Amino acid sequence: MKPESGLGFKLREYTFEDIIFRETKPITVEKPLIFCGLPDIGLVGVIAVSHMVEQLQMEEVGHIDSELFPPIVIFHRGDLKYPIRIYQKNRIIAILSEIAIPVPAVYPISKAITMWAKEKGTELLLSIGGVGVPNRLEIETPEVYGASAFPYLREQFKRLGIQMLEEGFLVGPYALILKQSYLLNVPSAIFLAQAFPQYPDPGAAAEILKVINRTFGLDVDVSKLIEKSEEIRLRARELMKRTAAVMKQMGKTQEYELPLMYG
Amino acid sequence: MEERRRYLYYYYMHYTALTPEEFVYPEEYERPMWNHLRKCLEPLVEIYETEDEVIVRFDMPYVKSKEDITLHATEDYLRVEAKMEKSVQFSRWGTFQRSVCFQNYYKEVPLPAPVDPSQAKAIFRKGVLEVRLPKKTRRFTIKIE
Repeated sequence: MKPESGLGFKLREYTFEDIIFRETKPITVEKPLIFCGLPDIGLVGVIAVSHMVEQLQMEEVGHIDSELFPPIVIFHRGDLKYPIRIYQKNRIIAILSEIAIPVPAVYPISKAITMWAKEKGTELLLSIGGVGVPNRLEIETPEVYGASAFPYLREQFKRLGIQMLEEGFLVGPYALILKQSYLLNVPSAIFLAQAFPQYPDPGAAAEILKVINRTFGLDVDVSKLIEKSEEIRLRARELMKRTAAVMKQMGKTQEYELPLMYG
Repeated sequence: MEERRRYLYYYYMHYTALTPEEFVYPEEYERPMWNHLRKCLEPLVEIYETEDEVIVRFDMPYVKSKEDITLHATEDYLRVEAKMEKSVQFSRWGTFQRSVCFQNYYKEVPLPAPVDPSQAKAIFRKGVLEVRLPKKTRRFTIKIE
């Protein structure tokens, strides 16, 4: 008897070394905007992208899998879900992870995301994250910074009033995505909001979504995110704890250090 | 594949300067952040050290007022208990597959250095409790000859 996929339709798979991208629904859109929400400082990317998926009613179109990931599946309303999923609505694609990326998987997944984005002919691969600030409690409206390896993108964002990161270290999967994108010539950037280093920060996620709305002409309502802020902080505790442990292993504190370069 | 995984593992061991023992999650990360019998959740905690102080921050959503928080400290331990404004219910949750309700936070934190608890100060803002505990150290100024 021929085994059947539980998904009930033909899968399209892209394998990049140890990482597999499975499209459960064909993604054929041209020049997509890809938003990446991986667990990082304040879980800013995860919270922002998850809210975007909900508000824009994006459809689940695939997932990312690897033997380097923890052996986890998620059940939601009885349905089996992969922990790292791909969503789509029109030309917006979102990558969302509900697990902290284990350190040995950081390099391969960053490379795979960039290669997949190239395969899809992305117009922009935008990573969404946080930058830890110790005095976050005193900050009412967190600043959002941008960074990119591509001068034309930096100019474009500057014109839109986004402050660009001039000096400093960036550690983790987003750093590798930027590096790989530069190498493979994939238009890529990162938006970082000031955030609590080790607490889920829906306020920071809301600020970054406002900037994304303004920059890309989207209409993601952030008022509901603010309303649900306490619930999100409570529900995201465990993911934050695991993410903090992984960040420690990656040497994330190096982001607070000054680079050696001068002149 | 096996070889590649081994390479990645050792690459990161080297890159992050961690020993294999440190690489796995310590027990702390495998313990659940709740106790359904006591109906309490464990808050996220950040601990910083300065030259003179140990600073501990607890993230406690749904706690509304400082009156709902009880703090106890010794020279090397800090304990927080807090009542949530409303109880939080998870229906058909995880391995329980039944409704579980939480009403409080509870956490005991071992401190990284001995402190003087009688001089400790705390503030509570936007659901975050910050406790500053002065370190119990005697300082002497040394005259340079």
